[in-house]
Parts: sequence; structure tokens; C-alpha cells
Amino acid sequence: MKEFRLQFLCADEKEYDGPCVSVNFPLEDGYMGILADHANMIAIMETGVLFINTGEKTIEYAVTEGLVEVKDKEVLIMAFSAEKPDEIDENRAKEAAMRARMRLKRKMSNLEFRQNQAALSRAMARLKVIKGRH
Amino acid sequence: MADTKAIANRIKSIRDTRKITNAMYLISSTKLKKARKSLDDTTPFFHRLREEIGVIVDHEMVTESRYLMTPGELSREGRWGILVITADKGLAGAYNQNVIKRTLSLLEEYPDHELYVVGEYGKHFFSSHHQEFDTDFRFADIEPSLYEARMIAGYIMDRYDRGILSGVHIVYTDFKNALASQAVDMRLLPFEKSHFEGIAERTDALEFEYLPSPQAVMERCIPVYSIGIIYSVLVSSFCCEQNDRMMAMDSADQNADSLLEELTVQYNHLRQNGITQEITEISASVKASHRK
Repeated sequence: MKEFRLQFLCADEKEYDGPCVSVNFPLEDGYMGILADHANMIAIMETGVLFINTGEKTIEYAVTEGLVEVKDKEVLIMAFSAEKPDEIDENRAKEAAMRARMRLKRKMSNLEFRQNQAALSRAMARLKVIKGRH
Repeated sequence: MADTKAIANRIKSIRDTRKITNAMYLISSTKLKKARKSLDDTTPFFHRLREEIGVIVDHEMVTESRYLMTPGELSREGRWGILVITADKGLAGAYNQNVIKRTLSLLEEYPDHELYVVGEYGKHFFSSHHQEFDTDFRFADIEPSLYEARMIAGYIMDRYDRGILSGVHIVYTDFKNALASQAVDMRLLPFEKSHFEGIAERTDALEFEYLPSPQAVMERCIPVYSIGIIYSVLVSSFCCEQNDRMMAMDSADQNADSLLEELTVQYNHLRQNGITQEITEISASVKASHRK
């Protein structure tokens, strides 16, 4: 498979910079995959699971919202935060998901609703990433 | 000899206080270094984000957005949010007072306002001066973190998005270098278009496909970018606080040193006087006994 350079930036560190074969990331309406020689584009990435296939292995990250940019056949991913499976505490993620679900059922203000929804999708992304680990 | 005892006590108490101020000085200097490093780590991300917004603005792919405006459009009408960043503690020179002074003059400029206060010192000041502020807005000023910045940005963005606020100001302390810091105010929202103009190196932006649209991409980037600004403002204020505390503690140390010096001289003087007097008394009494 043809390789391309991938840079993956988080708010406080550079997660990955190196060769890559394919990237899959969540959009608002499903997943999108990028292979080598993709046309230039900028897309909004949603909170979810990001897959980076380096050719040798696939790395999964639970990411929060960000951008994906393809420029001159190089790919740049920017996410506010990203966690690898081994950085995630399963029990905490489960608890967080449950809490967010419970809170979503209650009546609440607009802000709380959005915060809880975001918290739920972050927790779900973490849990999905962990599932791949077992 | 009661006098020497009093001075000895005083010397001891000054020494003890000096130990505390010295420790506070050291703590502040490590905190300062740490905070600056964590800010440096985030710069590439937020700079890149600004460039992305810049490309969209440069090419006028988005003509109107609630987040952007040109200088001519600025009006002071409507309700403005004012975010004030103070410290949790005092003992940092005039750090808190400068920010509060600046805020008070801004509050007069914007009679219709909502006040958001970070830090216990500011909250205490405004509540004891009967200045209303948003009590749902609870953020401490321990060590600035991205997480906290995100919560603050979320809170303010929500009110802006719903149209409750027509703009947001931040009052903070700008850390230029260790010698010059200054309480300043900055408009966070709406952004001025020129803030994003001309920073992107790229000129071939029109060949990009935007998913779902340039407008959506920009409106996603700006809230995230504002987290970066709030974070940098928190760190800048935090650095100033630590720096001001270092200076305050340093001058406290120096004062303690000069006091100690003075008191030690006094103490030795008194002690020597006592000894001399004792010798005089003894020799006088010896002389007296020889005469008999």
C-alpha cells in the first residue's frame, strides 16, 4: 500500500508524526477514510474513534472534535484531545457514560444538555476504543 | 535583661517569617516555569487553527458570521459579558487591585453587562462592594488547565450563541516579561476579521474542498480557538500572579534581612552593655573589699 505523511496534533502535544497507509475518522454523518493521493480538503471531525493504519498496525484513538486537512498529499489531523486505549480507565468511562445518560433524561437548560451530550459521546468513544483492546 | 529577651524573641519571629516568605518565593518560581512550559506546548495547535480560519477569511468564503466583524461594525449596544481573571490569594503586590481597577472602569463603559469572575479574590471584592456577578460561574484559579479553559469557553460561548450576549471582554494581566506586566482588557467576541487576516501562508485555498462547508468549518474552529485564547489568558495571568508574588516575597525577604541586621546589632550592643556593667560592678566590689 502506498504511504503518506500524517501529522496528528492535539491541543497540548503532537501525538503522531510519520508514515501512514490509511486514516478513518468520524464525520457528522458517518465515517470517512483517506488513502494516499487524496485530493485537497478540509473536513470537520466529530467526537468518536479515529483509526490510523501505519502499515504495521492500526492505532485507535478516542478523539474529541477537530479538523482533518489534506494538503499536497499530506494529512494533518487536529483534535482538541486524544486518548489511546491504554490511557483510558474503563470504569471511569463507563461511569461517565452512565452519568451523562441519566442527566440527559432530566429536564435541563440548553447548555447542560449540550455539555451532557458531548460528555456522553466522549465516553462512548472511549469505550469503543477500549473494546478493541480486549 | 528583659530588653535583650524581647529583641531575641523578635529576631526569632522575623527569622521564622522569612523562612515562609522565602518558601513562597521558591514555590512561585517553580509554578511560573511550569505554567509557561505548558503554554508553549499548546501554541502550535492554536496557531495552526488560527491559520485555518485565516485561509477562510482571506478568501472571503464566508461573508457573514456571528463570530466575525469589521471594526466599523462595532457597537456597544446590547449586553456584554465581562470575564475577569483574578487570583485566589493575595500577597502578590498590586496584582489583584490592578485587574479590579481596570474592570471597574470597563463596567462603567458597558452599563448592561454580565460579570464572570475567576478567582476567589475577585469574587470576594465584588461581593463586598455590592457588584453583581454571575454566581453560576464557578471556576477557581488554581493552576490553569486546558480543561478549565474549555469549561469557561463553553459557558461563555453558550450565552453568546443564544444571543444573550452581544460581545465578550476579558480583563486579565498581560505577561510581557518578568519586569513588565499590565492589567489589560481584550475583546474576545466577536473577533475582528483582521485578527485572522494575512497570517496564513497558503494562497491556494480555493482548491480545497470543505466538508461540509467553509462556514461550518470556520464556525467549528472559532469556539475551539477561543478556548486557546482563554487558556493563554489564564496562563498569562497566572504567570503574572506568580511573578508579582515572587517580587513581593523577594522584597519581604530583603526587609527581613535588613531588620535582622539592625536588631542583631542592637541585641549585641545591649548584651555587651550588660557584660560591661557586670564587670564594672564586680571590679568595683573587689576594689572595695581590698580597701578594708
